[in-house]
Amino acid sequence: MKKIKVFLAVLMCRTLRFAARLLGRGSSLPGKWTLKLFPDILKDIQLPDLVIAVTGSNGKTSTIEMINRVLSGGGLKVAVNREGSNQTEGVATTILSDCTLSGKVKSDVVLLENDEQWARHTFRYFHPKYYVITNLYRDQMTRNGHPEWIADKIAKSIYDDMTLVLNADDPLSASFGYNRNNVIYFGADHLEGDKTENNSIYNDGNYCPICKHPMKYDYYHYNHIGSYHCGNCGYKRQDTAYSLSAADTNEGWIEINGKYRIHLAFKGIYHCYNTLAAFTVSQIAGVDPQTAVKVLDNYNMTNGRVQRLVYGGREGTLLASKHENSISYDRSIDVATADEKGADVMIIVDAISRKYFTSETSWLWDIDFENLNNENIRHVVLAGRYCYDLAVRFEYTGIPQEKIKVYESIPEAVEFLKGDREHPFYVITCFADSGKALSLSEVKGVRL
Amino acid sequence: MIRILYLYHDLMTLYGDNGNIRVLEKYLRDQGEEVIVDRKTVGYTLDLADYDFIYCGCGMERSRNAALKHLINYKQDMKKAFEEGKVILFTGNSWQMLGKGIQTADGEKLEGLGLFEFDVTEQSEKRYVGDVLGHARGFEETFVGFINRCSTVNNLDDPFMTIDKVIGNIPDKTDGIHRNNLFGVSLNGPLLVKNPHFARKIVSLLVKDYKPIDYENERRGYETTISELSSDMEKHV
Repeated sequence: MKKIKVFLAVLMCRTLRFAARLLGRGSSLPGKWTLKLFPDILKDIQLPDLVIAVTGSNGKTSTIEMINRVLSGGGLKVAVNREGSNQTEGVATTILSDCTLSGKVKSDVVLLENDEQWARHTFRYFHPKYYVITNLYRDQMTRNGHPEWIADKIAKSIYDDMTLVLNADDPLSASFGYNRNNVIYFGADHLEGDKTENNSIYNDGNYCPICKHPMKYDYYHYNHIGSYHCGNCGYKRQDTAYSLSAADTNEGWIEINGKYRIHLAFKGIYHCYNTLAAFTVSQIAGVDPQTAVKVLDNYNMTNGRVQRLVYGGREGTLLASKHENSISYDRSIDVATADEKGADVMIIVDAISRKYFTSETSWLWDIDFENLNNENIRHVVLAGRYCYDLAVRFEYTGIPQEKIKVYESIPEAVEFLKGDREHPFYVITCFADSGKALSLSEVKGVRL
Repeated sequence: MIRILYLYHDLMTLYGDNGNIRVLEKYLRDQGEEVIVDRKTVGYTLDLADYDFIYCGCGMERSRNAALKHLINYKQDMKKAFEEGKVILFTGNSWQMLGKGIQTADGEKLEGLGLFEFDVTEQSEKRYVGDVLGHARGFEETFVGFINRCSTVNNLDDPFMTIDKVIGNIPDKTDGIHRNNLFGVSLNGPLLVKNPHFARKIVSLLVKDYKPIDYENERRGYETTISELSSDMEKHV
């Protein structure tokens, strides 16, 4: 009976996937329809030994992409779900499409990006052997509530037989390892450029996630990511098995465990963490470290987060950031202010994605726009439908008002940027509004 | 001289709530006042009588519970401040501390500050989130903002705001409290920035000779939001 059920489910999913591809439809649909007939089918699938799941607020897609490359580079065949299909339906599509008709996954590894809120539903049917949690930030709170709400949801997706792979430097993510044995931590050692004070607008590491007493930090890498300990319950950052022993985000390289140096095609600190997470997983999966280094060295992301722009012959960079995610914007701001050639920065907040049904702009008050008050920044151009919300926010940044330009029309803002051909510029906006900046560029589709 | 107490500034600031105090400080200075803002959090001693204005913003539920366990030590002082007509603003989920008590999602029963008769029950399964447009007693202008909660307020008499429209899954028709000079409203984040009329009201309660000042960016931002949300409403009907 079970054999027939599996046979039918796999056949159905494969057929639907073929049909969906012909019609150019989404990659979650085949799994969705198959689950309607066979809701618990994932229980009956013979999975490979290596099932690796990744969740967290920021960097899931990038981390998955790099893990996929590095495992493939190590000679492993990987079944991976595509970006956006990270709920149970997408996971089912990926797994069932990779099965033989007897229900055995053909690939060596099943690698799954998991939505933070959905993982608890998906993992009722099977348990990944390794469960990577990258970080928990304020992220699309219109959908996600807040970081502890998400942490409570993730907690319901964790089982004793899983080995957790956690970012030791994020107190909330690392708290899943509290009083638990099978945990592998990754994180950064004390790095040059770390701060002893957190001057961000908010600090989600102020209070212990275990007992809500004040926490102390020895140093911060950025925002609330750093080395912390609670004076009340003793919760603290754990020692890491895989560590950024050194990093230079200006020159663009990291060193892992004192011996593996990896050059970064993109220099942001979050890219250092994503690369470290990918390296960590590769080692857990048994990939030769030199092979991992080779694949990750100068690795170019294909997800379009960073793209080249040209306005009126002037060279610039698009830094697509996560909507309603202040830390993502903070890191984009870091990139712009580090440019010693002196740059203009354009921030666009336009008709925000309808996907999230909201025109919420509260999160602009959580972003460290104050950091743009920097000698490397020449002008700040505020553009789009919500330019006045931005303009109010920027009155409190300390940036001299004559450096700030406000344009409701994005093309008019771009005209302003065309007035200078010597200096670089950066456009910081959310993924949903990125197309508006790209469509005005004279050079298209060049990912950096 | 106007003295502001910003309560639990590092604990109850979930979604840009810090903006409320930043703009208020500026608006009061624009009225010619000197302003002092004291930021106090758990572990500090509070002298509520020292202040002209007390503010508390929104936090994660466990943070709000930690704040309440601290503020409950000042139950009598809060009652006195409220009854004497001190200007008090509690936004997001912080005004829920002012009722009889909170039943947390973990089943804990927390004693409230007892200024009002309502009580609160919380759960950890479902959140109610969305943009809202509403009207409040004493204000002609539409209130706009964002609610993000997992609690239910029971026995709320004489609420502050009527909710006219929602984009999202907020089931409430009313929200908040207002008595004497105390305001409590579930709108999250920098609601004083987003509702210039409400900021004007708070400022006018705090200064002797209030002079109207037009803040152009705030006004245009407000107009944009009202217009976008109204058109969004049509799209979502």
